[in-house]
Amino acid sequence: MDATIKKNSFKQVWNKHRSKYLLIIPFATLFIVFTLIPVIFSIILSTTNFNGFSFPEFVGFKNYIDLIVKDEIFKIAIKNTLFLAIITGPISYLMCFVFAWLINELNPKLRAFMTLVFYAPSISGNAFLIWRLIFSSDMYGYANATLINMGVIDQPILWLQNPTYIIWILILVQLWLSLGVSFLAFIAGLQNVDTSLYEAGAVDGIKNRWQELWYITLPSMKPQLMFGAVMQITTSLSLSAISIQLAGFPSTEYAGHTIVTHLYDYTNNKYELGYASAIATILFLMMLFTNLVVQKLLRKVGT
Amino acid sequence: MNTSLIKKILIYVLAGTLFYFLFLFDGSQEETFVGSSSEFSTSQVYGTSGLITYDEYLRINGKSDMVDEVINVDMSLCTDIGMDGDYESGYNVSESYYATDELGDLVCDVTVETDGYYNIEVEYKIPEGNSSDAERTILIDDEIPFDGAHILLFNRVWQNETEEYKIQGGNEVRPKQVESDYDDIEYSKEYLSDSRKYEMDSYKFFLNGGDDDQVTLTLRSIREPMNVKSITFKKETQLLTYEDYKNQIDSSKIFDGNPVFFDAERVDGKVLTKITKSSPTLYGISDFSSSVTSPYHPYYIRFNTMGGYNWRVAGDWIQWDINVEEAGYYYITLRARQNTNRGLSSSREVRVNGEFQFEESKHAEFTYSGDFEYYTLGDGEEGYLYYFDAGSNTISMEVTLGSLGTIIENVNQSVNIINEVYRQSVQIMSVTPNQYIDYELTEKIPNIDETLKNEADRLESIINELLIINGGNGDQIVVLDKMQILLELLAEDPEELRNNLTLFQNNSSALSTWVLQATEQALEIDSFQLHGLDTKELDEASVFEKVYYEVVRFFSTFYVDTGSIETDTVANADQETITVWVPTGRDQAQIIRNLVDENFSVNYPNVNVELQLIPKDVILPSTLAGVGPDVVVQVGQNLVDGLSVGSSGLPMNFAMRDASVDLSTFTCDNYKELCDGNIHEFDEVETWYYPSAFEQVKFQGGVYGVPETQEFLMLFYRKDVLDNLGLEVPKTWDDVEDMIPDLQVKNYEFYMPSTIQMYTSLLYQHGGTLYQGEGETYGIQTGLLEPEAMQAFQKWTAFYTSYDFDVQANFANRFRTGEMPIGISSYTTYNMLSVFAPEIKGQWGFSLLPALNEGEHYSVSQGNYSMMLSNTENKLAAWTFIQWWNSEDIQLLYGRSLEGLLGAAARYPTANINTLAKLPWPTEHREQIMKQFESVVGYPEVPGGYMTARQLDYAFRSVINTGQNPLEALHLYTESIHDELTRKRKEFDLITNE
Repeated sequence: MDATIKKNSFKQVWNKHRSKYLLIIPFATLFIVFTLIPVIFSIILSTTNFNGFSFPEFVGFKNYIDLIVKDEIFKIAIKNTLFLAIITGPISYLMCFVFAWLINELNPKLRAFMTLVFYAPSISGNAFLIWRLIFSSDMYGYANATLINMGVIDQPILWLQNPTYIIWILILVQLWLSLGVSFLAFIAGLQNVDTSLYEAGAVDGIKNRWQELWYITLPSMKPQLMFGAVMQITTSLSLSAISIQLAGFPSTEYAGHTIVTHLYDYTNNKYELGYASAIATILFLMMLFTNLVVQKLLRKVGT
Repeated sequence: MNTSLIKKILIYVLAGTLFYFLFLFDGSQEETFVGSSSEFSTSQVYGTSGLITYDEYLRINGKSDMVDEVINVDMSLCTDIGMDGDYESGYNVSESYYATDELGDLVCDVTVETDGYYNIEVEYKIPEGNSSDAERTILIDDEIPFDGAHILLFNRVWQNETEEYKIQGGNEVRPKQVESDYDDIEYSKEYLSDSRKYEMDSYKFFLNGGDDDQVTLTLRSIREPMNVKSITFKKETQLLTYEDYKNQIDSSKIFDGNPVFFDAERVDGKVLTKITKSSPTLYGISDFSSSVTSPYHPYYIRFNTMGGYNWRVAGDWIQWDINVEEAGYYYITLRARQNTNRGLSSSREVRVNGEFQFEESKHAEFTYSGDFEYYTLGDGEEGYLYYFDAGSNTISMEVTLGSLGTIIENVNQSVNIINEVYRQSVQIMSVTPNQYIDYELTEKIPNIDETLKNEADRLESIINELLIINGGNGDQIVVLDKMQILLELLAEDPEELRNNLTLFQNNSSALSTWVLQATEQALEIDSFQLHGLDTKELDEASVFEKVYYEVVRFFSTFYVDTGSIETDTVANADQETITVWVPTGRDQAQIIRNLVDENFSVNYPNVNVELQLIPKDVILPSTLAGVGPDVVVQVGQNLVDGLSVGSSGLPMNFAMRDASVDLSTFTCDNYKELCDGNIHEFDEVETWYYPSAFEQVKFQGGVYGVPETQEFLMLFYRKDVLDNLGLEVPKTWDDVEDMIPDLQVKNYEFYMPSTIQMYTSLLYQHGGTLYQGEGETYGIQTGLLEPEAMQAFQKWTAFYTSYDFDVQANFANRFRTGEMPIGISSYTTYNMLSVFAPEIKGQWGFSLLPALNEGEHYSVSQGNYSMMLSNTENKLAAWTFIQWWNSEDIQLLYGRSLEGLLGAAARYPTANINTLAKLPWPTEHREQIMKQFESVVGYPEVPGGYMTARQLDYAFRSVINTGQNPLEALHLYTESIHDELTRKRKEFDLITNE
């Protein structure tokens, strides 16, 4: 009895929504082939010893145990990643929103222009490499030259080779880059808010812009907020390119070492792909967990 | 009127002035600066080489007229000194020439009865050598007379190996560039002249016979052998101006038939019979920009123009041998393009049948044009008439600087003086002057204000001259203008230099770049027309035509494969096919393709080679996916990018995982095909290299690669600066330590790279080693805990902590300005300096890396390798390719072709000892390299070895950054090296310490 209903309902669903399923197929195929299957594969590989050339050998949870118990450098990587994520994640999320909100007040032409200005750093590929010029260790690097000219220092500082500075520079650059996709999503979200809601709100006793923001604007753009949050979490937890490009690989005393660069080390230098998969799996779980927490938090918006 | 506002302004002004006098003036008087005073040694008369300039030479010897007498030097009475190289020198009686070697002097005693100025004409031919141009210095009575006489260049003659362009896979293939056969070429007769072309006329030499009427003429060899047939002292024939020349023309002889037309890049057999040129880089190039350029194809490569950017160096020439049916006077029209020097023109010396026909043909000028244009040789309004004989004629065009010559020479001198001022100022105030100190520059550098003023004036007159040439302001002038204004300002108050030092230095290097750019006289020629008053239609493509071809080109990108390097050779059924990957670049791959087609397929007809150009990072994934190649060439490890080495070498990583083949198994015992000697055995291949070359690819008794290149550290120094300071080139580290105070007191710096290569070199000099163990256990434990390693580390870090060396610096640039007159760098820096820093040509040298004990100048090398992958089905065929590719002759051909294609900056750092000896290095420098090469050691690779570089880096940084004790630091960081070595050895089931 139950089975027939289910079968029927599947048939019914298919008949009713066929066109939608057909439309989703191209994306779904790509997603399954290039995202879902690799993720599952990686989870399976993480329980093996695999160097890429010879056949994987099953070792159970040995990789995870080694990773958590023995690997000192992984601890540094986790520490750095979390530190970077906790600072850059929320700040850049807020920055995205605040800038989007401010820009939204401008007239359309100026808004388009300002959007481009703020968005430019994150679309311009490796443009962040100019920071390497700024923080060059040579005495002619901009930061060094300026400080020397001002008389603050008399010896060039090795910005990107000195563990004290590396992480802060990474944070600075990441913040500069942070007005990315979520920023655009916020702008779109802000423009989609139904203006009649504001009138209704005014009638219902909204006293100031803050209340308007909290009770009307934010709740009406929850999907965008959600999207932005997911993007910020993934980017800030998977920082690696700027670390490798700016601080070099490996960075001095692993000061700029993140989970992803650790993973890179094990795939590209040590050819231990099973172990690397274990790292990837842990990173995946971390992202999942943070996402759940953030979702919980976002539900509180407007209440 | 608002009086209170005026009052306010007055008060502010007063307060400001008061403030200025109170603080700024007081401040400068309070602090006194004690520095060494130094003599200002430059004056305008010296050229870049430290010799007096040609103008000065003429001034000193007086502007007397030239002597009309002709003096023939009897070559048979000349002698040679110090010519004991490979080339047999001496007088050749049967053909009456004097053979001179690549080193040594040719000395001739000449009787000169009438003192005065003479031109010197030399008749010569260059025999086979290292295919670079011959270089000579001329000495009159044992003295180099002036700047310029020390570098006289004599070109070799080059041509395409085959006149026709072969088509492969739709594309035309560039024929090999070869030297013309020695017996085919004629002796060249040339008046000695400025090889840089600053001076348009031939050099005049002042000969003073003295009481006995004897003059000693010495031709000193700098590079390459040369056969000298005759040397003649005489006055060069004065040329008529075009005005006078035209008046003598019989106007009935002006050609009035159909224009004679020929393509500049291809011999058509009818009009154009031969193209020769002075350099292998002057070859046909393919232009897609205009469909009128002939021959044209919208997407396949067709060589349709000649010259281009490669044809920019003064002295380079191209000669066209043509047939003209009718004798008479012709106009010459070129379809050409000069799109590199905006605001300036490119100049050419135009010779017809080896002679200038009138004065103006010494500098035909081609103004800037974005697109192809028709240039008729002439003064801009009227075309010039050139006389051609009936039958065969030659037209040659040689790059010259034309009217820019004197300008460039002046700017060059200016740069020299400005750099000297900069260096001396830096010696007094350091590179970061304090703006509150009065450095008393005017007292410490005599005449500094005058010198600056002179240079400002000189630049001003140059700017005015350029304005006339350009007919307006252009971006070429901005650089000069900026410097001129700054000099003007500084001349009034040299003390201002403390606030403008960086700007001053930037401007001066901008000025050198300007010189470099201005001397580049590129010209790309599509075709020639010799015509009378009628010309062939001179149309350019219409807009529609252009758009049409652009569209065709765009769509062709969808179906024309540009990734694989095509060949015509079709694989036979009985051939073994191997796939070879080249990760470096298209030019490199194309050269290898050509070599394979020309040489490999002839010698080993049963092997077919498929060549593919791929990015480096796909080698691993594709091998894992089972679609990898059989052989990969040009892969290796890079130690130069700072200490942090991310990945260890590819050959080793593959070797450890059984993914590459042990090449030492290729012996006669294992493969009987290797016994007859047609294919070299590994044991034989091994003898082509120093053992150090294999260090990076040895693993557990196997050898997993054949070395291609090896780069190592050498010591570069500025002769002029060291001479000034009275310092010797250091041979040992003690010498270095001794000279540091002398350098630093003058604010000069020593450069030492903070790389693993540097430390390991020191380590080996101290008798240490990176890893312990023998044979199978090699790499079982790090060698960094041994006392030798500790000493080396201490020594290394002390240079940065105690002697304050810069940890990071752009050496090449600071070497050029003279801030870092001495430093250690990879020997390939030589190539870069020789091309990009022409202003210090001849003022620097390089020598062995300083040693701990003299004689043990160990320097660590890194390089590229050829490797064979395990999934190769036909190992023998793959080995056949590898041993062929790395053989002396092929590597030499490759090195020369690469240099031919990309210029001297791309000189190949080959690992093959015999090949290195034949690459076109100047003799003196080659000796240094060969000497250093003998004491090169390899950087060993072991499982887990990447940890060594990493931890060493951390140890180094912690000493530099936090001042940790070097011994403690090294000890602390070495522990994890040990752990990693053990961990990795366990992974590969090797013996461990545990």
